[in-house]
Amino acid sequence: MIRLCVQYNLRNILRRDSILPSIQKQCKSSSAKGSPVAETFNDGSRQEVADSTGSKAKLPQRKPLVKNLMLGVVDKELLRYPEVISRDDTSKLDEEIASVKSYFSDTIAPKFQEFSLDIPREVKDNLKNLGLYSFSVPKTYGGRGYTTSELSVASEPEQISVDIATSLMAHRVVSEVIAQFGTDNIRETYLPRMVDGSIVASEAIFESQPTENQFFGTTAEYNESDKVWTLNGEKSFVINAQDANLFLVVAQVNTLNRSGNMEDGVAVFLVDSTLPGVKVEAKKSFGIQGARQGTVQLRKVTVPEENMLGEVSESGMVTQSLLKLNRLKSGLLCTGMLKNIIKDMTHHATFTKQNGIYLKDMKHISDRLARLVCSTYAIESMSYLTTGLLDEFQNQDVELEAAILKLYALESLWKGATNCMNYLGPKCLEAGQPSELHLRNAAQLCTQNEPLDSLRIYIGLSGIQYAGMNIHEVIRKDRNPLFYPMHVLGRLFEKQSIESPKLTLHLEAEVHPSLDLAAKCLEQSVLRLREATETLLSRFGSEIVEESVEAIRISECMTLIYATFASLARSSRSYCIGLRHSDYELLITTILAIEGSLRVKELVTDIVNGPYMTSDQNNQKIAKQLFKSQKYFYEHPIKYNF
Amino acid sequence: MIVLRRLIHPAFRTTITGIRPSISHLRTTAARASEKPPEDDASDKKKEEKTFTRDHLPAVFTNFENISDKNKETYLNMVTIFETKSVHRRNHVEFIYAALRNMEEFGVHKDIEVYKALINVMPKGKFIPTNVFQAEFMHYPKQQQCIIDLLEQMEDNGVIPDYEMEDMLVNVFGRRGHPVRKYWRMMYWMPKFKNLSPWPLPNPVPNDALELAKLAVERMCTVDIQSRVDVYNTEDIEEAIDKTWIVSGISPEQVELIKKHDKRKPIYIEGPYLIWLRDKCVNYFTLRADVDPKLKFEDDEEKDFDDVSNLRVPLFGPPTKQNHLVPKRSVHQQDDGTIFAICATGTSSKDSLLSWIRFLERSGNVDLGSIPILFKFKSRPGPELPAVTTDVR
Repeated sequence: MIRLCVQYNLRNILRRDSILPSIQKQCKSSSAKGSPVAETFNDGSRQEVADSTGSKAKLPQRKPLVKNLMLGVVDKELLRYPEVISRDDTSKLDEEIASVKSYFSDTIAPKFQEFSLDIPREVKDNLKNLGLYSFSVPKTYGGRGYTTSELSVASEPEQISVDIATSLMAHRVVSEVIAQFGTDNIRETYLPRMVDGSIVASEAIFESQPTENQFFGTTAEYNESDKVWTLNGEKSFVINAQDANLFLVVAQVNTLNRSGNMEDGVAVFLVDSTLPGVKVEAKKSFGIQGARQGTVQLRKVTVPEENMLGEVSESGMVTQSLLKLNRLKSGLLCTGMLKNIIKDMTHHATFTKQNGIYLKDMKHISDRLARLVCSTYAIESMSYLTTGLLDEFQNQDVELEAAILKLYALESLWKGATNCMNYLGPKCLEAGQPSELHLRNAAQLCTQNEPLDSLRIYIGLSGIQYAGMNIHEVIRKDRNPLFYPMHVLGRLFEKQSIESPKLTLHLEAEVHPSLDLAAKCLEQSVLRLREATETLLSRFGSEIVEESVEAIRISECMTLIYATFASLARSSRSYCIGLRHSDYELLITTILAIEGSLRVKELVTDIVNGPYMTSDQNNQKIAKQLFKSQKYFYEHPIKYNF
Repeated sequence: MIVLRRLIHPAFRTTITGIRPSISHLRTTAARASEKPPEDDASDKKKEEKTFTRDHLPAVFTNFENISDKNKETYLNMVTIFETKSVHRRNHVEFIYAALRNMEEFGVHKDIEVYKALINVMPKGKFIPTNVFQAEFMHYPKQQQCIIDLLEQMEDNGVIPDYEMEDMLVNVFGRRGHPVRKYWRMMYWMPKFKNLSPWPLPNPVPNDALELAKLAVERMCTVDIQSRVDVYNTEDIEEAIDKTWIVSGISPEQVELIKKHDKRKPIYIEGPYLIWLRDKCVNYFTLRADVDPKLKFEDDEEKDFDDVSNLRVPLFGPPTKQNHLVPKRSVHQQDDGTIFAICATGTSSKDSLLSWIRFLERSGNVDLGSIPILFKFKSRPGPELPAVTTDVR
């Protein structure tokens, strides 16, 4: 039945696309084969995981998933959604968080709106007693020692209240970073006390004022004789600033690089709130007010050498890992918030009658809600795929996956939170309405930490950087056609078309046959992405790092592709093992794949067409004049000239 | 039809010069006409005394050159006198040419009202062609050419005609008249040219030297949109001898460049240079240093754009200039030197320029105190050289 639906959709939506005949053929042939995917779930590597989950030994590192997409390479193994938490562990985990779950659903849920201004003391104590602060502290220090995936599952209940969730999130990120990079002494000092919440930690990364020549205005200087670091500066948007007694501060340092020159770097420090020179000030924020954001001023604060996490040379790694954890967690947080929004909206649509008709019976409202569900599904799939990768494989590179997750999640959250404005009218912004609270919280999350555009540029450029490392020889030839005539000739024949790329990856063999269409759409998008990457690299060469508009386009492509990939893997797994509503999962995946591939096609066409065929060049021109005139410069529409 | 018209036209122009004199010819006749008037006027004067009744008009009828008080009122009076002195309005073409030549002295060359008054001298209806041949073969060529020249003069002076003028021209020459066609072409192009300058100026530009200097410095500062234009008064500095104003333009980037400047190397105050604002020009000075020999220009920088194997992508925020091995060259670092600031002063004197340096030093450029500063004047400035001169054509 669902298959029929899917094919029906396909026929309607992709009629103009030339892939239709081939897809139909493929559908027939694969349905004849039955489902080969179910068997492949039990191959060797998967077995190994099941055996070794107790000791948590990880599989060898795989090539990065999303980065490789830039080269048109898909890791087909990963199309089988990772099952990192073994069956036994899952039930154990369920038991462990049962009390947390009931506490949140019974006590917090009915009055979560009250916490939107401040979290009461007794709630905080309850959180400590329930062990919520200990989740990510390793077992050796008395914590629960959850893996990233387990932590994600365990932190789902608390997402009923964003304010509580963000405070806990900041604490956990710090404890994870300490566990990963701290010296033994540092771990001994802080981690045991972080378990019971006697130390509440928070991150102080971002600043309100951009600095002219560096990333951060906060600086750290090393004193050779006393072996201490002196910190100076001011950090803003620190979650839970007044309650926290340990801050993770990111500061600018001058370090000696290998060639002996001083180089700008960024390092991470642990700063006790009780140290002289630390001044905390509460600031009222727009949303998530219960998390009590504030600024942390550091004036000549000296911390021992040990408090810098990681070696000076690997400080980049620490910050990267810090950002990665942050991004992963905000993706999770968005899932929780979106679920809350969907719940509220559905309830509202079901019971509100307007002009004699229930909102739920209006097609446009169903459509909006369905889209919201789609993106929530994609975020959830991406979250657990990313955490799965992180837990399953040794040192797996998921920085891009995490960044994409955050970007997609925040964009969807913003869309979801503003969704009700389309049909609720002014009521949705009344103080005290859940929709108003959601909207403010969503806005706050979207601006929390890094701005979304930086994230987009980071995603796009990191992907391109990876591609550059791998195909730089080809690019050099592409850029110098006269020196490599044979290469150019060869290129002429292999050129893929954007319109209908030649499918060679056979992704559909890895998923349930019902997802044939989705797999093909995904493959098309991947091939188009490769084409776009090569075009950009050969067009701009090393100057591509300055082309932020193109980077943003590429990042959107990558985001859509990763969302499709994750949903495809997840729904294939669900359908093969027969989870409830898995037929609807197929629907969602098909929607995501088709819409994603159409959008990717549009974006890639823009990229290949270049700045003169799109409006890029004209936009730059207008902006240039705007900066010259320093205001909206067009004349009034009814002005006379003579 | 149009092609035919275009073919006929030049041929017609070359062959029938007898009927339709060329512009230069007309000009000379016009000149002669204006030379002649004394005797014409003498005879006219007699008639004038008989027919002329209006009190406010000068009793003595004379030509444009002889009027001592030259302004718009007297000019228009002249036109009225001509219109009223006889019903036939003889020699009106010669009169219009004479009037056109004298416009600038009366200061009315940018006044559309005056041009309209001159067109109004033409009789209405008489010159309208009644058939195709008349329309195409320049009916009343002398009259049409006269008005074409009038429109040409308007165009040269940047006066955009209005719709009333169209009606007047149509009344005189009909819709097929050449002046009307010229009018239409003017109305197509002139409004388009009017706003084409990237540095719009008020029309006319102010007469006040300080205002002009501000406009000039602001215009030059548009190379760097962060620039700030300050107006100083030398009375604020005790040592200053000249009491005058200084308009100074400097940008944050230039402040940085001054900071980076090698203190041992002298910098120069150069000038005066000229900048034109419509028909007025302003003297200005620059504070300049020689080219920094250490400065590598981007063109010299050996960059391998083809190497994409190691792109730098920062963790926080978008990529910055760090991707360049050599810092990007500022717009103020030109091939012939680095420009630190520009100014125009009320007197353009050495002393006022000294005060300028003192002001710059006070407003954040402390380093200027320790850098030797030399004057490099193109001509000798002194109180006799005003900040602003007006173009007298």
